[in-house]
Amino acid sequence: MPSFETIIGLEVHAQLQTKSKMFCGCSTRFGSAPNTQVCPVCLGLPGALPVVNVKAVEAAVKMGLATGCTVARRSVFARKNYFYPDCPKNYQISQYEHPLCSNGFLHVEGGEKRIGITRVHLEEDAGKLIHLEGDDHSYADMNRVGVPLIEIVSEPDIRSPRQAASYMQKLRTIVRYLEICDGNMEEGSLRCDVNVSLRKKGSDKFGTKTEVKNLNSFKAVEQALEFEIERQARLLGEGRKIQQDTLLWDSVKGESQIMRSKEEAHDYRYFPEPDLLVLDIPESLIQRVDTEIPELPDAKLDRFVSDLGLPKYDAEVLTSSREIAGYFEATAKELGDAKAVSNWVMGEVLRELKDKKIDISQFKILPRQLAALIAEVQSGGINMPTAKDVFRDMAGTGNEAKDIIEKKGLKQISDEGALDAVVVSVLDNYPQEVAKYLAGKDKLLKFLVGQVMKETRGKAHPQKATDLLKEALEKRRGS
Amino acid sequence: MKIDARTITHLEKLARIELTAQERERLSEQLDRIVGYVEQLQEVDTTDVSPTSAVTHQAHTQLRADEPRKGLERDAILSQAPDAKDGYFRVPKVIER
Amino acid sequence: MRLNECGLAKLVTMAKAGEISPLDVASHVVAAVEARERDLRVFLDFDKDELLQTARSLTDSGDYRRTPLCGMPVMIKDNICVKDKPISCGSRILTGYKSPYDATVVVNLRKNGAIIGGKTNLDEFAMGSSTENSAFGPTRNPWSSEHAPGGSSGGSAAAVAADMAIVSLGSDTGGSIRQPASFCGVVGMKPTYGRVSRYGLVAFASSLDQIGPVTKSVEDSALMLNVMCGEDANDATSLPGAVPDFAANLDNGLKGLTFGVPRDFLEVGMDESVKDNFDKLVTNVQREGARVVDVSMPHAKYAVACYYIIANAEASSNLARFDGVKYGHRTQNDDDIYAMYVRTRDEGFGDEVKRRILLGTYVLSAGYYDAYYLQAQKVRSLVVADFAKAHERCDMVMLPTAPSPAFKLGEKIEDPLLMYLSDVFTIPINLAGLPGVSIPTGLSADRLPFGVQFIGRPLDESTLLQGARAVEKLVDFREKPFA
Repeated sequence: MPSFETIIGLEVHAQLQTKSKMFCGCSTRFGSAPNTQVCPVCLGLPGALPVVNVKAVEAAVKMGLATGCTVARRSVFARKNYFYPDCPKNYQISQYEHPLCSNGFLHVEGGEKRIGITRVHLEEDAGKLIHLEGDDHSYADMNRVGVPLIEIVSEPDIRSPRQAASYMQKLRTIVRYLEICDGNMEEGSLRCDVNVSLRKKGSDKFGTKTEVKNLNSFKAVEQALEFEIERQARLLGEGRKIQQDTLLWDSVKGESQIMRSKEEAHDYRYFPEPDLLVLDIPESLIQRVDTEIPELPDAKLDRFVSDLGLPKYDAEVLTSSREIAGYFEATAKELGDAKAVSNWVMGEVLRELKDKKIDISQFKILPRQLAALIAEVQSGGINMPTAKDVFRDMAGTGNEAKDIIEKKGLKQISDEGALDAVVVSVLDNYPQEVAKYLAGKDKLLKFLVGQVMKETRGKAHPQKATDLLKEALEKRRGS
Repeated sequence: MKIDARTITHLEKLARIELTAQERERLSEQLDRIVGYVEQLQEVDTTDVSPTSAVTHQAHTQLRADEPRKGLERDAILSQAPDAKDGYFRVPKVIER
Repeated sequence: MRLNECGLAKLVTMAKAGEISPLDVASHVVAAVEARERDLRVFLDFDKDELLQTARSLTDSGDYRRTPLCGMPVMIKDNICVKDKPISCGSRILTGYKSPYDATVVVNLRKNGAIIGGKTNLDEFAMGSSTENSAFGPTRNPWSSEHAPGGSSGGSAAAVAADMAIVSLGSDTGGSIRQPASFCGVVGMKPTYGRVSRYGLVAFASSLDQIGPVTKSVEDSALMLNVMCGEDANDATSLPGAVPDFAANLDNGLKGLTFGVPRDFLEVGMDESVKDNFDKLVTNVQREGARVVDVSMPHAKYAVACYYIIANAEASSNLARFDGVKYGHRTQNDDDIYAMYVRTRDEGFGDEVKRRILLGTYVLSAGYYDAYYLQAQKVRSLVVADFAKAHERCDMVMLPTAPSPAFKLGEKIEDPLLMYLSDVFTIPINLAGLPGVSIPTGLSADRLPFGVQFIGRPLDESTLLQGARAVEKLVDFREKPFA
């Protein structure tokens, strides 16, 4: 079997976080009772007309600027014509020949891989169609009809399923940084279709591509691509031809099925939407939107590495969310030791958020408080195991570290006189272990340190306890 | 003949209109004549002419502020639907697009 | 005096003076409708009790005297939405549907003191030139029951001509206000594209559709425009900016105005009687002190071909929403979704609508877009340019409204192309988005009205109406359909 190169392109749809829909004033709230957020416009009632939501335009411009696109000063809405019961007008208002943004890019794999973005354009979402097993009807809920979307189309620059997932992840990070989309793939705020083809290594001609739809998680993107690549490779290996099909991914079965063949492909009969005139983007809008763009993940990552001296890995994890990065930075500023904070945030903080299924805005420990806790450790006030207990207390109560330490009497015992007494009593209580240690079983030191910690209810300074133990044991060897 | 039986069948599918055999015969003949008539546009020299999709004395589309407005009552809408159940529009089963 | 025979301006003056009340007018109108509806079939919906009731409460409150329209009734073409009223667009596919909202133009009329009256007949979805394409049967021309009233706003024009209405609203996509006005001997006006909000007008061809009034005089049209026009937040194509007083220049006369006659375009041909009527009027206008110049419109003859591509492309998409899912008719034969769609639409739409949807689908479909749709858009640019050039030399272009007086019912219905050509003089104006007004200019030997239309510069309805008003005075058309 010859070896193939994989060519992948993604079409990603992101729901924009506006209060009202793309072309009407209906609410965009998710999860309302069916058909309660509809009006003459989104229901396609006779005589109703669309009017463009300026906020959606700004969000799309923001995405365009953030991904290095050229923003068209004049772009055109177009109708995409197809019949489907979740599409009340039986056409979708989209953009076709003249999209709002084009020719952008983004980086994945730590900046190593550049993926081109062909276009970012505005369009409206369709409704939801429900099919029930054993029912010969389908049910349409039009609440989602007209929710604003941007479609982000990549160049066929992606070469592996893993890269596709990274690209998708990066897009998600960016739309969340920009606060234009919540990135919730389960609720469908971010959706993805992939185009994939194979070609013989070294060839510069593209093979026949297929499209796989309905990928609603990063895992689905990766798995569906792996499945499709294997299928195409098998067919090509058998000397058969790839048909230009559209497939539907079933994440439960872990396989895709042909949804329609090329012969059944749609003829969408795009033409300029006559109910809307040219979309005019004044320079002032571009400039204003540009000032609203925060520091983006790549720039932040570079700064965390060069200015704060973080390892690249840490910087990547921390910058994958704007809020986490912000939390980290605020804490690091308080403490003045970025790496220590990074360890805490990447470890305890992220674990806590995951366990409690909350996001950082609901997290009870403020950056100042976390910095104070870490400072307690660094000054020797408490040891690390105690600090973790204090952290959990703080995460539950929001109390200050200092108060918890004081109230619970957790202050580390570093005072040599106090520790000495404990060491002596431990050695007296475990004569057999002491004897074995002195006979060469070094490992028992750890046991003895553990006993000291136990006696002090964890408050002993571990290093000091170890040093004092060693000293006392050596003395006994001599006697 | 531009609008033959095959073409008109294809158009019927795209437009979701199913003609009876009799209608098809009559309409395809009429459509063919109309298409023959509009063919005269091909004789117009449109080199360097840009297309006009709307004639308006306003340069660009008006935008609206992102302000939610109350829509229609569900009962008022669904009571107009040919078939509705449990708050949904009901249609014959849709299997694939 | 029969109030239903009076024009809007006169009735408003009398009502303001306290000489008549909205109820007086409504009563006369209802009487005329009751007497003539059976023969003419003007209305698809007419609730006489409601009309009288509304007129009575307005009369009792006395508030009407403070509004511009003083409680006068306005009849509405049945492709314009009136809240909680059935709207059929002359089609079976909307059977049972009532609009849950008012069109913006209806809101504006109500705000200015109008009573919204009945819904008038039309060709299905405004596609036609005779009202014969109405699923509910044709309206008859008040001048001759064998003749068509024109279309598609045939009901609105016939209602005004037969004094079953004081004024009415029509919609004009390719001549659908002006041509029936001409056939029925009344005034029909299409404003500049964007002047009147299209929100609530059921779209036929969005880039061409425009709502306008059908009236008994040019002055009445000006009064109607004053209350109908204005920017609308619900219509992104509506024109921003203040609306002028369209009646301000009305009586400034012919002097100083220049009329352009596109001789090259007139060669497309017309009835000899129409030509005579038109030429005589041109001579008259010149004699009375206006300047008349020849203008050239070399591309106007392509307008019909251009129009049937663009209008039907848009229509094929606009009419996709009538599918049996959300409202209106659904077939009984709905085994699966595809069958439901195709049978619903086959049963719901008439022949002409099907023809146009199929034609529109064809010109947009893969492989044909450039040759037809794109080329038509380019030719449209040339038609626009022809007018712009003509308007550099004249204040308004003058054309017969239609190439013949009213034709007989059944005369053209079997030949769509022949029917389309009856709009040859009105269509270019829609392609160019310009204001146009048709006024009656005499009667044929068979006592059928002639009409002439004036086409103004964009946004300059005021000058256009001034010219039309001056010519109206000159013609002094006083004939009535019922001798």
